[in-house]
Amino acid sequence: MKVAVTGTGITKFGELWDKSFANLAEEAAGRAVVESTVEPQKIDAVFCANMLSGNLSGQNHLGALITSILNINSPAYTIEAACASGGVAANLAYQAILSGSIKNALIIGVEKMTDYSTAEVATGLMGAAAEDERDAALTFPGLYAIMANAHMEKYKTTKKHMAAVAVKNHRHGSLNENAQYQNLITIEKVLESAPVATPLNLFDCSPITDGAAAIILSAVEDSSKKVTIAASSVATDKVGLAKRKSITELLATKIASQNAYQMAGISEGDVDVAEVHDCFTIAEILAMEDLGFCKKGDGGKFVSSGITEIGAKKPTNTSGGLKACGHPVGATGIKQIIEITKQLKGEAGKRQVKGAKIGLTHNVGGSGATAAIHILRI
Amino acid sequence: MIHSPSTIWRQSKNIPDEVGKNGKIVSFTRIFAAPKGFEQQVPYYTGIIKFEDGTAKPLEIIDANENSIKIGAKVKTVIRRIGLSEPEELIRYGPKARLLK
Amino acid sequence: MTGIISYGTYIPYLRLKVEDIASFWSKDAQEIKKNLGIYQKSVASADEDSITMAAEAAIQAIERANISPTQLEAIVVGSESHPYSVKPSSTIVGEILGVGNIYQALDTEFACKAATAALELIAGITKSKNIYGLVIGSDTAQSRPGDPLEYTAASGAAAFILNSKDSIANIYAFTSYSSNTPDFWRRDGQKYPSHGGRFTGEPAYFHHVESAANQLLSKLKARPSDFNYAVFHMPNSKFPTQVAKKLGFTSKQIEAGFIIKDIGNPYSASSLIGLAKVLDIAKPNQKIFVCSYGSGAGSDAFAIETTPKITAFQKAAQNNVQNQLDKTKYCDYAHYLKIVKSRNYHL
Repeated sequence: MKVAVTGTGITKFGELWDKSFANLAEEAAGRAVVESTVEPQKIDAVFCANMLSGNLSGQNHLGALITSILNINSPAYTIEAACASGGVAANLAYQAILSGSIKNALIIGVEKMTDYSTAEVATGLMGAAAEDERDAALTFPGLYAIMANAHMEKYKTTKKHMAAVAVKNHRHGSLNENAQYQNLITIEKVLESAPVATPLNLFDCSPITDGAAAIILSAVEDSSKKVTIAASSVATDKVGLAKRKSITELLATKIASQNAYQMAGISEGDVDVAEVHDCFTIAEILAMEDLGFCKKGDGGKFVSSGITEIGAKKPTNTSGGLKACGHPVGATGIKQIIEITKQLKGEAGKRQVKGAKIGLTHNVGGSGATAAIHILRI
Repeated sequence: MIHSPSTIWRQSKNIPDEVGKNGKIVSFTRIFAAPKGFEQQVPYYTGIIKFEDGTAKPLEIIDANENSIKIGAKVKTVIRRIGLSEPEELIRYGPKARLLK
Repeated sequence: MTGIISYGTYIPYLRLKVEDIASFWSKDAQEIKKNLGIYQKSVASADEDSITMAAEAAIQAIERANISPTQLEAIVVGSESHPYSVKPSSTIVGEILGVGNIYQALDTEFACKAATAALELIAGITKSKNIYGLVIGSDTAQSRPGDPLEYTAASGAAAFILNSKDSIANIYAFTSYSSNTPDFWRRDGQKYPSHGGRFTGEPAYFHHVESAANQLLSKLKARPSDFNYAVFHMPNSKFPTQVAKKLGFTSKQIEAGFIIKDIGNPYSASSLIGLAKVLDIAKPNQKIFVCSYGSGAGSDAFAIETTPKITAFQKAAQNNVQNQLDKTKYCDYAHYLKIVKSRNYHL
């Protein structure tokens, strides 16, 4: 028995003031149900991924909210692991199916962020960090900036290396009709944008976004021509940066990815296409190293070389990543799985990676306290 | 964010052990977009400090500028106000890392 | 007689020049400097207040005293800028210092003499109960932008630990002169103080300082020349210089403790920082005359004699008053206003 992605549904990502949480959920879930041909009544469980709804809008109890929209009575769960909520939700659903207790699961990530002020959202996002980090007046960009400064000091990574991540992801985003930003940018534009938390400028940071993404995972006996999950792995590390062994790597990513490669029986070289968690440009550089795509410390040069562009050897973030596609927190991990699914099925249109057979998604919570890795194959 | 009396009371008990400690900057950043309660300080430095006793903690770094702040610089913790409390709230006091010259 | 076993001061490093304030209000800085003998003032950062400065001064005093904070059994914080109207600064400072729970805690308020008044009270308790007492004068002085007080309203703190054993100096006489003189006041709920202009001179500062000082000299059957040093409250350069002359003290005697030119007037910490500066350099068995002034009004006059133990104390003491006066960085008026607004944004 294998677990296959039998349906996907995604909304546009962006500043969607005319769409409510429920509107977005209905749109994504509806599309997934239609594509999968699994009727709502056949959904055995709903897993809803979200981080900020309770904090920003006062709405909790989201699992039941989704089943209400689908008009079903199945069990429903809400999963929160900061920005890794989507990946972690998929991991739970995958385990539930593997256990044999359910056959079809809807995993949906929804986030409404643009109804609120930047300060409110920034403060809410710091809920993913440690209390003493909040007391030290830190922000999310600040936490990754601290890692960036340490990486620059230790490995001579430069601001230009980081800018190359944003430029590439915008190039990919320009090919994605659902992406929040579809414009091309240059290294100069990134370097000249306003400082947010040194060395990170505005264009080093993923935006605030509304959006929803849903998949249906099903137990299948015949997996031919279907995209199946070869591995689903979650690992955690200390919530606060100060307590970690190293601030120039994400240990949770290393552990989860090594477990995933083992589960799938592959090595990092076998990954044809990847969606990684570029909440900030430095995060993608760290991911290249932590996932084993390149040697420790070489992440900057790796990205700058162009090797992670569509058409090159290690296409990464073909969706535009978090930077260009947008980052509706709870939805991102699911969006990544949808993007890889489309790539493996040959349905990625202008973003298609030729002959992609094995794909990887990398979804991180907070400054690296949670990492969820999925390996998909067709 | 409202810091309740009991939260502040519980946290203040640690203050004597957190003030007057010597340490070094592990890494830092200068923040230009602040969270609620810290907007009036922008721009400001914050980072991770490793203390002589081996422990590490995130702390605001004060009395620093572009030329003086760097990884490895020595700091000493002092007591300061943390953030901006609302008029009817309690004042929050806590440690910050003062850059030593 | 009560002993001082240690002291500490905290003076913020930022300074604002009289020129920067005056030019903004189109006033003549040279006239102000000439008439009042004031040049610059210390400015506390936005995240500092009377409590944080009091704690820093006390931490220095405790370090130098070589005692455990838990040995302190009485703490008084005197200020006219206590952060709370209701909630004692002394217990917050006590907790920051780690004194435990066995202590008497009190806040005092009497304009610029809030702490010297406490000195006499705590001197009494430490003597009668044989305990260690801590008295701190600390202020982030407020003034209305554009008001003459703005040129001198400064920030700073001084802490003194009292106990008779192993003292580095002894307070051997103390007297006070008080009256209901309304020279300077601030009503509850008001943001800035008001004052009586020239009325703050003769009937206020001069009358009370002269009265208390003469009272003390008479009580001791002493003359000004019996003292090596004299410290008077310093609201500007003119007043303490004139009152010293009137009383028969020389300009040489008041020189060592003269801090107004460097940091302005840190209110409750003014005469105490001046005293600390004298103690930083005084030799054993020297006599110091101190007279504070607090509007509203009153003066505390007391006489101190150093002991032979002061030499070792001075050798071991780090970051003394002169060091703190020298460690400066200038800010401009806009930066100063940003700090004041930030510290008091809700007022």
